[in-house]
Amino acid sequence: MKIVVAVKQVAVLGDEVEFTEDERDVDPDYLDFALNEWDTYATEEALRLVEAAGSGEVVVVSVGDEDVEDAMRRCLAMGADRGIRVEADGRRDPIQVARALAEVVQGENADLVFAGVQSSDSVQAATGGALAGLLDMPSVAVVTRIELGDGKATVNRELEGGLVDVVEVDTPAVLTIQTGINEPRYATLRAIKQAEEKEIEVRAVGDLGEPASHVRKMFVPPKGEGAEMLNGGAAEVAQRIQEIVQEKLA
Amino acid sequence: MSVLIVAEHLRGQVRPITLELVSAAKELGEETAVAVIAKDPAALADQVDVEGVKEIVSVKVEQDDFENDVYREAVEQLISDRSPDVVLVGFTVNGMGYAPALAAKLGIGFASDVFAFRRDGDDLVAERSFYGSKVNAEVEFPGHDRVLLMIRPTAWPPAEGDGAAVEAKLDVAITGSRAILIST
Repeated sequence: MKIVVAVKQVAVLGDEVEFTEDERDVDPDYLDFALNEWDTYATEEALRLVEAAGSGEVVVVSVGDEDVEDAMRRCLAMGADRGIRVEADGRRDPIQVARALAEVVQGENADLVFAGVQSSDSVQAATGGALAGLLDMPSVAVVTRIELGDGKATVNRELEGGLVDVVEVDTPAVLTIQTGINEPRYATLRAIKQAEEKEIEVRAVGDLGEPASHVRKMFVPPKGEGAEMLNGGAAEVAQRIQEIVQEKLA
Repeated sequence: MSVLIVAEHLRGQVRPITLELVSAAKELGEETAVAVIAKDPAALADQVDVEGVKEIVSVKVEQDDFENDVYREAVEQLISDRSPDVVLVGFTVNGMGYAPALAAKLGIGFASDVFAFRRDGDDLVAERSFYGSKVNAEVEFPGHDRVLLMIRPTAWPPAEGDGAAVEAKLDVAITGSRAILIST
């Protein structure tokens, strides 16, 4: 059982923001970096399936410069066996990321390919799907349960409004993993130390093609109209909230 | 700009996002076609015949409900047949299933979770958020004659009013579904 997990180091913006001179992105000084939350669940799910199978390998793949190895090492500390980083810098749209990953993923001949449903910084929910499109693999988006069969997997697909579809998908397949599918393990200090020794192979990026989109300008959203600040003590604020709700319902 | 909307339906009902896409399309032009991909598209067509829809394209397939590969193939053939400038799909779980795959395969412009757009001369400029919705961005699609946008639910109000859409149909060839719905 081999599972490839596509992971991303995401940028987290604090309360203050400044933009780069060309206004096309946030000034990196205002960003912190972390492993994408969805990808921790995807990694955990891959680890559990390989552990249940009794043997196999979890391979994490990512696109970016050397810094993204921090996020990849988190996955290795959780128990992933090795990593492959596709060397690239600058902003990429999700279809370009999928192009960067496609060859690596194909070369691994995995039984399953996971990606998080979306990344917390870009929220395109597209990389996993785009990868499936490029590799012409079957895929299911927003998966909340996986049961492996012979050449197939039975998965739950979480729809809006709490509805669920049960889907039987041919494998190998690309599944995008939803948060809450499991409870990701914490890496022990010892595992974090050991992860430093695990292999992250670096590959050169291929042709990423034309960007599917291009940021023209970033800006702070205009403040919503109609916001009313409620001042005063708790009882006073609660009273005012009650009045507003009653006004809206009237 | 000509717009192709892919109707979304679930358990026999057209979902509100479809009519929201019609409202969004009104900002782009007069040529809006709505494709209904279903086992019995005629049963759903009335629900999308609202003001602003010029044409309803029925696409008959074997499946009652959404299956990823069926939509991937059907929408690809719709795009090839209709040559729309813009394809609008909901930023929904169904949309996530096939739209990014199709955009990647066709190499067309793409952005998701779009909540506003405008025309800037001949260019389309879409608006979406980044960094946990703390900043917004205008995104453009240089070098692309065709763009697929996944639209954030509730960003536009649902279109209403009686429509007078022309009915059309498209025969599509579906080679197979590799992710089959087995229960709901």
